Amino acid sequence: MYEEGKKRSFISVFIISVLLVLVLIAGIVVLFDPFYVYHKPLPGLKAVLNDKEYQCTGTLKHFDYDAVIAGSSVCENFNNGWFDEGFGCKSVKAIRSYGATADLMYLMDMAFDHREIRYVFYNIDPSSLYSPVETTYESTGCPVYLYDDNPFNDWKYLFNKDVLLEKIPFMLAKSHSDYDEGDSYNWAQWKTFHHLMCMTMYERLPEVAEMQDEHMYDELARENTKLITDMLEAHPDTEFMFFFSPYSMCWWDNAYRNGERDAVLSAERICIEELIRYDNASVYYYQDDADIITNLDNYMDTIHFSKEINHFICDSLIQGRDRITRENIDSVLDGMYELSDEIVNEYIHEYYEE
Amino acid sequence: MLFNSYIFICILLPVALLGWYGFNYFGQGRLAGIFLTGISLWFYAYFHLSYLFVIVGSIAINFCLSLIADIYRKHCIIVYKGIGPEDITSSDDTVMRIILIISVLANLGLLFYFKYTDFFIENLNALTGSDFALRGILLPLGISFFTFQQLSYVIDRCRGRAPHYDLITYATFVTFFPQLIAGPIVTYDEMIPQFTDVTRRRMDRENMRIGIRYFVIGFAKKVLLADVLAGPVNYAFVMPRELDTATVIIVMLMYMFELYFDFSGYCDMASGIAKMFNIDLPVNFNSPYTSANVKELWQRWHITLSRFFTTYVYIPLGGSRRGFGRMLANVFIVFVLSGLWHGAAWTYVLWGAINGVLVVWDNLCFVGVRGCDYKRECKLYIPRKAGQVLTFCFFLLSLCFFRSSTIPDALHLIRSIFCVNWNGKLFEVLSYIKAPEFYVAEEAAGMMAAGMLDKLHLICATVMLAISFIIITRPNSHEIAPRNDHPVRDGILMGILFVWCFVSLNQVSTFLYFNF
Repeated sequence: MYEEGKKRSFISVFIISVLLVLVLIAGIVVLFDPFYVYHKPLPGLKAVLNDKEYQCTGTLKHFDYDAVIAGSSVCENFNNGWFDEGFGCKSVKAIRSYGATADLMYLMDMAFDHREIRYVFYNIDPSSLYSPVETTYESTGCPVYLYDDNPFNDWKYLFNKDVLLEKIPFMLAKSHSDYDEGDSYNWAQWKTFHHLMCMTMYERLPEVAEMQDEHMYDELARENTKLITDMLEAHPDTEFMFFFSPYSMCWWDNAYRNGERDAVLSAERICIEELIRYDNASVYYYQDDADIITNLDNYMDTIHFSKEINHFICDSLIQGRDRITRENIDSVLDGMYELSDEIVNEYIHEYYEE
Repeated sequence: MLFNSYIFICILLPVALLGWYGFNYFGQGRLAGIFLTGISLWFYAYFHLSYLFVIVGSIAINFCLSLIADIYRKHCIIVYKGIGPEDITSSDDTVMRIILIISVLANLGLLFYFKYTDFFIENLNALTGSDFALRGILLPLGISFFTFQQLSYVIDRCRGRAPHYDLITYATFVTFFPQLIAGPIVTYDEMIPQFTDVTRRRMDRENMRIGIRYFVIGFAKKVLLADVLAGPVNYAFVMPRELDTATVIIVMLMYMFELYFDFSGYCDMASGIAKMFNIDLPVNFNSPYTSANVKELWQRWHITLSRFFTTYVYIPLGGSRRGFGRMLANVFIVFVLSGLWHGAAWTYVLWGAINGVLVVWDNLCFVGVRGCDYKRECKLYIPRKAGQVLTFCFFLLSLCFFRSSTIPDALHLIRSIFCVNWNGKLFEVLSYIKAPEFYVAEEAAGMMAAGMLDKLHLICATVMLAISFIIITRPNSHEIAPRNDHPVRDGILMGILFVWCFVSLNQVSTFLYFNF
């Protein structure tokens, strides 16, 4: 009888212990909520944002904001404070690596579902115009349990040792440091921006391929642009500022050498022509800034530029510089075409032999 | 599906236990068998659906061979000879011999095809200069285990030692998921009587308690120790030629513990799960790293594999019946085959051969260890502690071959151990000892001063090795699991340990992509 009691007591105590510890862990995670799945930061704690795949959805659902900075990794080094000050708004970031349009639209829909939005600062990456028009969160291994409203799959977040022993302590430590909440998802401080770094990352094709069909991306560009214009039409009271970030001349050199350049420019033209038709949209083009893109010391690879360039873009948006209109679209895009020729024939030879 | 996964712990295991005991409670023993087989096949197919065809095909072939043998025996009894089945033996029955040959060829052929085809082609190409393309055949998990398991059954069937079982019983035995993918290698005569014993078909609190304890111990070995130790080991073996003396020694120690905690942890979990079903699996690891000689180590390491080779290779080769020299040769052959069983590469074969040589050396009784059994008087005896240290070191050295991709890599590692050199790789390798438990200390060390992080990683590695060493020298899971001295204290500790492992299964991934 006594032995039977001992057996029972072990199993009962074990089960009760397991349940109690699980509840305790879940309680701690819900309380501090480092991915902001349930609430915005507790009073006294800062919004520590450094895992975009895990935190973007939470911030869009629970933070107080009226502006969104949307785009790919090139947008991560913006300081939200620059936009807040320049436009008199409160911004959060909606970041998706690769900047695929469908993925960003998913985040934008989430933002519009939860908040009234006055401004959207939207970076358009050329590649996003000819990417598939389906979301890629699942296929790229993102934590999709954070992207839905299903509470039954939240256990992956609630019972997670990394969250418990890394993310929560990190958030607490950063909250009590001089962490700047505006530097959400910033990574520039850990990177080196130098022409050698950029050249190391650029695998230059040895041969120049024949230029491919100029219209090969047109259909995808139309479909991706349609995703954006649907958003414009659905939110007429929101002001959208689209901008094309300045990729390095290595990127353009590569586009030329692999024969994609004409198709890329055609896709950009399709998108821009469509966007500038809308009253609540404006488009800014920084890709043709020769001073920036031909100086490889601004870059860590062919695409990613330093924080100073982010600041330059933000200031330009505030001042309305380099805006594309119906009047100048041809000259801007033709100018980009000519600049890419100059890159290939002239500028790039400062770094690479002819 | 792995034992250390949410889907297994939260869904498959509870469903399997409920179904098994539920059907048996209502007297549906046959349905319970079908259910358990179905669950086991789900468990297996979860890795890759095509695996299902392999295991089902393997079961079908062996069951049919057993059935043919059964029909033939009955036919002999009724029509021709009028004698009992016990009188028909392989020695006087050609048909049984043919079935035996077919079964051995079919099972080993299946194993050869999936596991050794590319190895064979590689060697053929190397020997003849031919250029046959490698097949890249997907290796079904656990194929070595269930093939040997069935091979032992059909061999004994043909020898007239094993009865024919109905399909459900046979399939339940072969597919029983706790032992399906990583052993232990069980035999029909120790498993099927347990499945057919009706007294074992009702839930038993004592077995459930022991099963839980086994499972939690194995879970912790696998998740908290083996998986953490694997980080630096995996990184180091990407560049084995760049490692210096200290790095090789520490990495090999880590690998030695990783291997043991990984395999024995999985076996503990298997034993625990089986115990929850009132099934006793044979012990597969019995504190092998405390062995005083290599022969003893192999009596404590992967015990069921040694048992299989002893029964179906060593004894048929003549065992010790044909003289001392032949016995030593048989031992060596068994170890070479054992090496090949572990993997289709010459590194494994050499590893097996090295261990074979060491066991042969022990059998020669030149140097004995006090307290160990020897068949004859040794010329010299060393203390048991010295034997334990030497055995540990020899096994560690042999594992250089087991873990390396090529024999030159392994030789380089061994050379690095004995030709002392230092290039500072140690700190780089140890930085891969990743565990959230160390995170706060790592961050603090990183902020304190440059170089502190290296020291911290060294401390973490030392702590992990110390914990590992303490665990391998203390009572093992088979001694701890049945204990029930402090049910409340143990219940709380096991509960906390289980949750600690459970939350370790979820990770926050780092997404490192800067290329659009």
